[in-house]
Amino acid sequence: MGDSATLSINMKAPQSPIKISGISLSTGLQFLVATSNSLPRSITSDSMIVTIKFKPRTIGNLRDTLRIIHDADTSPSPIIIPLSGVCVESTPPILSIGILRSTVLKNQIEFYGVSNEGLSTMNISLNGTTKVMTPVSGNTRIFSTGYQLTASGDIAVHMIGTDSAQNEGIADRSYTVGALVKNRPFTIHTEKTDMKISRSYSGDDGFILISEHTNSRLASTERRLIRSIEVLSTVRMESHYELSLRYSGEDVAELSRSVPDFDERKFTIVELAQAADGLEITRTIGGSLKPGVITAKIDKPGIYGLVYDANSSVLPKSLELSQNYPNPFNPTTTIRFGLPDASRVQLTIYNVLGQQVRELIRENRSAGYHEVHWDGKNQKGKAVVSGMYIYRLETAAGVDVKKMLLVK
Amino acid sequence: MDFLEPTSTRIVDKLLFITLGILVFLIIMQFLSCQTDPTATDVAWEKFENKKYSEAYTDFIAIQDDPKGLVGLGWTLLRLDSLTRAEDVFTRAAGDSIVDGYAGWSAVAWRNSHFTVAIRASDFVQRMEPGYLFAHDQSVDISDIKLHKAYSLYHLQNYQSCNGVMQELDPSWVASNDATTLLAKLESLYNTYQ
Repeated sequence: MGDSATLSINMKAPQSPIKISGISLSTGLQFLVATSNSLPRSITSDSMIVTIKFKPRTIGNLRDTLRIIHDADTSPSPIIIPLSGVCVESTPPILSIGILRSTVLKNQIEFYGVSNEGLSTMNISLNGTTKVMTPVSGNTRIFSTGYQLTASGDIAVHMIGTDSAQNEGIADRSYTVGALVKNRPFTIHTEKTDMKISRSYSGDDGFILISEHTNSRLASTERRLIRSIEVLSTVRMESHYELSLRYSGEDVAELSRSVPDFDERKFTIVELAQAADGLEITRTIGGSLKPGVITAKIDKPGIYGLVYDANSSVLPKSLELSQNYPNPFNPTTTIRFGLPDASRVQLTIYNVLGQQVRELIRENRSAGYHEVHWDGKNQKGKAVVSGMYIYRLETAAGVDVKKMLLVK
Repeated sequence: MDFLEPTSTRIVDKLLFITLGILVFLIIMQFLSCQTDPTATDVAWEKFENKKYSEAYTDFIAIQDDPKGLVGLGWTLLRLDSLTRAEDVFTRAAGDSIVDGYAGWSAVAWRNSHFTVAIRASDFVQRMEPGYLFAHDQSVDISDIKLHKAYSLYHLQNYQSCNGVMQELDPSWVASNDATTLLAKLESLYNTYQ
């Protein structure tokens, strides 16, 4: 249930005009805003809509009456408006999670949970261990609790805020934690993100946290946000980190359907910031592209995203042959490859005995990314049997081979 | 030959010369030892800088009667995650007005939920050294100290002052009184001055 509810009433004055000196409600409702500024000062016609903001104590259909006290000369008795039929709806609290940290305290972080309404309780579960969060300075909308980072691993944060009507708001966030140790190379992996520093880390001991954002969207619709992550650290970044963001065949397939002239080279990594109506791009970083992954160097924590930017272009540095998708497949699959330069290209399917099954293409292709579909049929147009198949890409830039599985 | 002095005189002169040489050598050595022999505080700080916090702790414990040693003990306890003890030590060191002590205090007081103390400690550092840089860990500077103040003001719901500190750290920040917006900005402010 929200902090307040708004009620619009079509008020009918006994005569016109009247001045309103007060509004009161019978039991069950409590005014949130009851100052003279918020009250309708007067009714100047015999019928007008008056909006009153109040704090409901109950949900469901109200049985209260609204008493409007006014100073009309001829009709000093208050106007009584029954509120039957007015329904107060129940809504769960909306929670957001934040983490505050300090360079001075490299192992210590403070979790905050902020609700859009006052709560009775707020619990936080960290990797299954639940504890009660403390209201911040008595404010039942903001809660916090400390946490000490000890080692690499995953932290699953689950916050549950309960309001006075027992509605539960939930916020979840998962962090992958990497421990930074001076003079050691650093790597951290999540399902769709890799972050690493190839040479030994020269900075201070501390931690890096990566959180995959869910349901994030760009405030601007010019560029398509495929996914975004948040990188947090408890130390200054002393070096550049290599950030790799992966994308799936499904992402490509969806973009191919929805974006005109889709070109995989137009994927790029950007730095993002939280704006009022979503995320906004603060810097385009770019990156080098291999099928399914784009890599760029970053120099500070923050929010990073993989976007499809029609204005950018990233060419592969060398020949790239990606894993077919779907895989296993039945009966069709897609094979993607990237060419650093225009080249004569031959893509051929073989069975495990090394016998040629189908030559998919033998033609010139431009630099960039290309897709070829195989319908699971041999050169004669006959469906092949289930099993492992090998696809071989031969270009001027080199040769690459991968396996795929047909399951009928 | 008259230019030759008697042998005894030459021996005496030689001895005198050697004695004088030894004396000079000893004086120089003494002088040099005074100049280069690091103090116990320096040794302890060096261990701190090399992240040998347990060893630094032992050293600082032994010299905690010295104000600088006491501040070093506070910082070492902080790094050993003994935050309650660290704050006790920084409180004891407060009378000596050593800026490093107040810098560490601003952090542990924030983390120990002593927000008004954290704000005071942060203010002290800012007043004494507006461009503060912690000599023994140069990743810590005035921005961190201001951040502790901003965090503490947020916690105390003094959003107006919190916005003021945030604007010092990021002049482009547009003040807000919304707790969620402020929290998101505080989270990202840490990244701003990496």
